[in-house]
Amino acid sequence: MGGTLSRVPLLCLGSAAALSDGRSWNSTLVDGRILLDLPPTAVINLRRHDILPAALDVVFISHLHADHAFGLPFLQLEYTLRCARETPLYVVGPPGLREQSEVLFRLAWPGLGRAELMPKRRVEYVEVEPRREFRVADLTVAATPMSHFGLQAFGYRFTCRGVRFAYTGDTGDCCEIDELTRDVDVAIVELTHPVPKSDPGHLDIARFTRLLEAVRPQGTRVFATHMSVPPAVGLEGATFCEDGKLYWVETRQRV
Amino acid sequence: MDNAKIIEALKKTPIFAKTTEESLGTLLKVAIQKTVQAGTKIVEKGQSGLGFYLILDGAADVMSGGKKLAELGKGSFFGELSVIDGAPRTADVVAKTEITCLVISQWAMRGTITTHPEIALSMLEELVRRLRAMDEARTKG
Repeated sequence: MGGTLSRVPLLCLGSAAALSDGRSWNSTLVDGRILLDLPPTAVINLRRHDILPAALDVVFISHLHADHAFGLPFLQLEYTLRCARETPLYVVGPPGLREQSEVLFRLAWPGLGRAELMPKRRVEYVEVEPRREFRVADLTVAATPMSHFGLQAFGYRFTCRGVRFAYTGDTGDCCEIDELTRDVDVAIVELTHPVPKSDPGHLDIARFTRLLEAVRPQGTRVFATHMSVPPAVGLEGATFCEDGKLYWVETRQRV
Repeated sequence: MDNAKIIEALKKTPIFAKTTEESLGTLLKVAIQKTVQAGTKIVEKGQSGLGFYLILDGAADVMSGGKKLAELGKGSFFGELSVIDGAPRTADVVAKTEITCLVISQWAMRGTITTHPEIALSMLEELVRRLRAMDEARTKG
């Protein structure tokens, strides 16, 4: 197969589920500029790694639970007081994202909503429509509905420098997971329960293992995140994300 | 320090001397300026690190096992080994004075090196110089 080898960095800013054991909440930085979910710990972990929040181009929010979206007020504060940048930040999420963002900002920082204190960098909210492909920044994105306690929760597919990514966000067992991860190079998948457990809104080790087997023939590299506890034993073909660890993923760009 | 002054400073360092101002400007968009007080450990031996550090102002000591290995001043860099291989830091770097560094992430640095291989050559020259100095010190010791 011809083509140029493309490598993309993937930094785990946090790997924990909502009930954390001390690790940061699930968030992953792709290519130094694409953030997958925005928990309250995301901005502090960017700073901890000396990464400017202004470096972000796109933030994907899978759903509006606190451990996925309540980092918004901290990011907005960065953009209001510290970060100047010419190009907008795109925040992609479910319907209601813009309204929730404004409510959170008013609750979090009363008095900072005045016009002269609004973000120096424009923030564009993109509320997704299921299965409709759209463009944000330089990415082509598709949002797939996931199964998460009846909420509007989405998984995302996008291609970054030739590497095809899928990110599930939180989801219970549903056939859309297979649709989302079909023919991707990298799948970042929630694994709330690294043990067998029945939970309609999250994956357990049994469903995760089935997913691993399904994507193995297509050569997909699978990362597990959003884990209630780090798994006790490894699983062939899976990488369990560790807070602060940098991974490199790659594909051959098709020409 | 504003970007124009940083670019001016970078152009005076051996590793960025031949890099265009436009490329340095692009790099600065994702770089962070970090100022710390004397005595602060900037990088820690054994820890994973993502940053490449270039000293804009001030000085730092490179330490290992309580022994001073080198002193770095304005225009010097450190953290380059982790940028290359992603492995944990090989030594502590401690601010000797108040120090301001430009911190560039591993991926931004790699991207810049890909488009400007002369930076890699300059880094190699400096690495060889350090290796020879260490070798000489060991022979004398």
